[in-house]
Amino acid sequence: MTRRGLVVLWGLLAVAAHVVPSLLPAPAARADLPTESKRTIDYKIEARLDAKTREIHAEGRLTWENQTDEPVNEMRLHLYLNAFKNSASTFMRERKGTHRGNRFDPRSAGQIDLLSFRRKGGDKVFDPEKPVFWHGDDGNEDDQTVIVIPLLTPVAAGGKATFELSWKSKMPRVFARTGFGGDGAFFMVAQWFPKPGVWQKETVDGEEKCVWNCHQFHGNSEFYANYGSYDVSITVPPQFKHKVGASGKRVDLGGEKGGRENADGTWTYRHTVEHVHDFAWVCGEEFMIVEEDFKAAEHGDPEEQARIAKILGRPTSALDLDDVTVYFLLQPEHADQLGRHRKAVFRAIAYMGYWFGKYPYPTLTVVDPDHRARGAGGMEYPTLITGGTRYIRAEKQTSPEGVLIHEFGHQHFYGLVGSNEFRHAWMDEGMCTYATGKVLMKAYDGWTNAQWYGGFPVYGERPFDFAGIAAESRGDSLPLVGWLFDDKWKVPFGDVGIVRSIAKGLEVNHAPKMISLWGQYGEISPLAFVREVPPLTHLSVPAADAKEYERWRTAEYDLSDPIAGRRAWEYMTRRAYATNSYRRPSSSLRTLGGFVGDETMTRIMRIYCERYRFGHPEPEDFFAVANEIAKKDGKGDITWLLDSLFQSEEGLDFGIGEIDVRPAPRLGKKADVEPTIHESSVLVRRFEAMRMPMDVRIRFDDGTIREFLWDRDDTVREWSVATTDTPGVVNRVMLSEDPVPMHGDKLARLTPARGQQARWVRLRFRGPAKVVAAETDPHYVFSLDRNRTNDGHSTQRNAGASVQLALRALGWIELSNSFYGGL
Amino acid sequence: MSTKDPGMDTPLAPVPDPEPKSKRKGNRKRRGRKQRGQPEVRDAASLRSTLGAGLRYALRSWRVLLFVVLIQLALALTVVMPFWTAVAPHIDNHPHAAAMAGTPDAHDTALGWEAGMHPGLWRDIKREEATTFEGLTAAHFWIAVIAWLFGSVAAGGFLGTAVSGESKVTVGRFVHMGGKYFGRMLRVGLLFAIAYYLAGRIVFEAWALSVKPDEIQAASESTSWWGDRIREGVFVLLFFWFRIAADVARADLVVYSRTGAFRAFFRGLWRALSLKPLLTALSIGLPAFLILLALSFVTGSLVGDSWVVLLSLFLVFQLAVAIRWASRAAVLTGLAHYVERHP
Repeated sequence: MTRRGLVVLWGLLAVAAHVVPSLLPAPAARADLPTESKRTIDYKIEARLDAKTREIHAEGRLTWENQTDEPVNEMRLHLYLNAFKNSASTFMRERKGTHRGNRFDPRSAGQIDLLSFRRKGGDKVFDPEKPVFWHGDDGNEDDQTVIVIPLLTPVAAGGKATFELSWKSKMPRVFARTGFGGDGAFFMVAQWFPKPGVWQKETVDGEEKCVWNCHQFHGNSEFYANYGSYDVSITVPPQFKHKVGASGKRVDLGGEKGGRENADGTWTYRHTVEHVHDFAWVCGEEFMIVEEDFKAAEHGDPEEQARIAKILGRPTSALDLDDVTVYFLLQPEHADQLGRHRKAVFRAIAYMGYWFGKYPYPTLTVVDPDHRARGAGGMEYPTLITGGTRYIRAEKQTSPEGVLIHEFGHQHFYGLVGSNEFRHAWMDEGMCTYATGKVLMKAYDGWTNAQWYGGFPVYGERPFDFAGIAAESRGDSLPLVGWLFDDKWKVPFGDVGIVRSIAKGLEVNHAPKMISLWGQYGEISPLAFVREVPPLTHLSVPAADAKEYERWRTAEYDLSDPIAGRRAWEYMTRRAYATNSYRRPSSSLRTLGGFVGDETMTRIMRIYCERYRFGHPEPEDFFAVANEIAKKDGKGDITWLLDSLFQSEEGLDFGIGEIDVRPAPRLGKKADVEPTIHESSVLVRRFEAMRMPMDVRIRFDDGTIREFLWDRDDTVREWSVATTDTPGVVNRVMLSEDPVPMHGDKLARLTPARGQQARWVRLRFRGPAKVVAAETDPHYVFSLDRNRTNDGHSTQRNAGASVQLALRALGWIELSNSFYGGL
Repeated sequence: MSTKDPGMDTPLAPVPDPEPKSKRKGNRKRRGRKQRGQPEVRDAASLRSTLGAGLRYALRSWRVLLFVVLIQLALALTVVMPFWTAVAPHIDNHPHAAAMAGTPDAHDTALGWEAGMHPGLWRDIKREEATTFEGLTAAHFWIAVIAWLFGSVAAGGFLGTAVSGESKVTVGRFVHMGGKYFGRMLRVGLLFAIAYYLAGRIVFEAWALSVKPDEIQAASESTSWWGDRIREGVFVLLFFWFRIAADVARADLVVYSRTGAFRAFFRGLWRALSLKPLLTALSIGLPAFLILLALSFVTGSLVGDSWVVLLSLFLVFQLAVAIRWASRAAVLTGLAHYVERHP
């Protein structure tokens, strides 16, 4: 080969080295899922429940490993149950004594008392009479949710220490997902043991050093702990025989159902689980326990598995799932909903397994809490989740499915990817909400609105709120009538002699002393059905999918905080916390997916979950993965996008301001027009502050469709474009200059920031065709859009939909009024 | 003077004497005395004759029904027009308005817009127009109160024209009779409202609060659920009992020109427990309600943006309103027939 030939060959090889990798699917950073955690703790617990006193007496042996390079001379442990000790705890102060509609009852308070704590082989350093609590988050000296125990001998870097401890946990009446219900017939035992905080390296005042990450229990926060293994023996009174569920797998103790009957009639069950950061258990007299096997071969979705494997560039078998034994602990009156529970959980195990990595534990316990303890519902613990349902559920609504899928999703975002829920609630709740929506959209038809009449759902909705004269007479909009019929007017009842006699005769024990003259009076639902004949008059609005549902729920709240960068208790309000932790991050993730495309987004989520399985990622870790994958996939650096989506307080709302079409002036001749040539202008607006590259789709009366991209750094306000005369062609044009071939790839074509995107841009067209319609975001990339009513405008009016709505409203009002006319 | 309606086995109510007003007043007094002392003996009303009287009246009073429907339409439009003006600007000029009207084109479907109102867009409209919608709720309340008052006019009109036995029921006579008996009908309506209110207090306050603590502590959630249903069921039964009693009382007041609404209502409560009034109301009211439900299948199929579809939708709703009022007229006049023969 000649020298020239060698040069050419070398050049070709060099080009190939650059081009070929970009043609292949982006390689996964690491193809294998970690199977083990670092096992920071090893906890053995023996617990005994006294149902009468609602107390759990427990002894434990905790082995803790210092996995940092600095010694530690004190232990910090969470004593979360003390949040429910009184109204002075930080949790109660922040929540003002309420949680999910439940009011804290001081008569049924809960608490945890550490009775002893000594280092094995070492001196006793803990005096239970003089506990020292840490309250550095807020300085609340009444808060006792973090205890500090000094160590005479520090645990050396890389060293281990074993502690023997005992404690007594008094369970509250179910509040904030833990406690008893039904007068002791049900116990949800969570946050019930002293749990070590996380000793980790952090940057404090610019200096990197090891500190305890062990926050107080706050009203808006959840948990954060190290991974390890748990071996817990639970002894329960006889009424809970075989009615116990717990994290992990049951160890066979030789008796029925793996339990052991003790001499005093109690039963003991032992559960073990590894690579988790919490342990919870439950017992309920009424439980109907059904054991079902999720079999990967039977309950998986091979098509989706193959699709994801292809996206990841791995063999399909690399995404094989493990079989899981699922224990459903249902209330007997919900037995008919077993199928719905099963489908939701099995779909979640399968799809989330493909998308985020397989569920690695052999068991999963799904708890349907007792109706007397609804506050225990909707919560996640490692390998144990609580759902929650009602006696009658609507078929076309994904409840209880939504909560079951969500809580299972936490097995990934919280369980397997152990982000810090105190500091970055969005990393578990937001990602979990995103994951929940993905499963719901994959496996269900969406949510159809319904009104409930006599305990049964009727699909459809009223044109606007009106629950009837009796109900509305108490509305705020009717001050005089509202005052008259206010709930405050009460009259004696139960203590009136005749009432007392009747109550005694009927053996009624709870005749109320006072009854309200108006309270609880309003919509009598079966009569409302007769009044408004809902199947005839209600609006039939199609089912909404999770993406759209989350968008409009997010849009309902004013923006006040960024998603990332706030501790859970630092948001403006509880609602701001909820919005920025659940739906807004979920919508942001969807928007990210809309930009980078489904395949890249799939890779981002999967690689992030693999890389941080059994880890404690920070937001920067997720952003780094997203950027890394986006770059590999040719989408360019998306730091600006991640900043806008997750670190900004700005809202996003683009739309069409107006369309103006008129005959074009004849060139060179004033006050004269060209009858066959038109000038159309489309005003595109950025209504809120967030800048984004925005698609604008223009439709012309000759059938032509053109799409433009309004760049996020484009400061120009006027653009003139000649009209194409090729009907039916989607002609994508980047407003500045270049055509953008495909939606998902346009990121790479965006030029570096040149300035601030203007608040509006006017597109001008001159030609034989007239603009008939324009819309922003036609492909619905922006799940963060705060208002979709202004997204588009058409010069051709079609009143069909609004007249249909008005006619339904007309029929609804006429029939309701006719009902009242008959009274 | 009395007439016999062809095909009926019982005579119709007496036609008013064509005498001067002062004399009629005297006659009424005499008739009143006669009724209190010596009730006119007539054949007992059969269920068939009661239903027949009611339904015949409903058929021959089509002018009045049309008038009543127009009144309902006018009342409803006072709320619906602001509703329409609030929602239309968000929808009519939307690029996917056709899809929302139920007729998506290729352009809509290519972008994922399916037939029917867009759930997210609808939420955004409600949020954007929240103030208007709150005002509509308040407006609907007061319009419903006016509709209730109009109901007293209509009841008096139906009963007055039925008892007068005119073969042609004109709107003028209907309004005249409605005005004449308005006070009595309204008083009965108020008594019904008080009974409704007290029943609500007893069922949903005294009863519910007495047993609810035990129900919600029962092992099964179904105990509480069924407890609610039983109370709702009892309340619904009480509601219909009071309603029939009120209608019997209204008929009583018109047929016998009585003025004592209180006494009539309490008599009505007792008489409403008889089989015939109950069956009369049930035999007319239930089929009418079932027809309304059946009409929902018709409206469900009327989708599109053509004027034929929209006009049909409008007409179906007006038909539904007419059916509700026709059944009302039939029940009232059927009960008048019954009351006339069971003084």
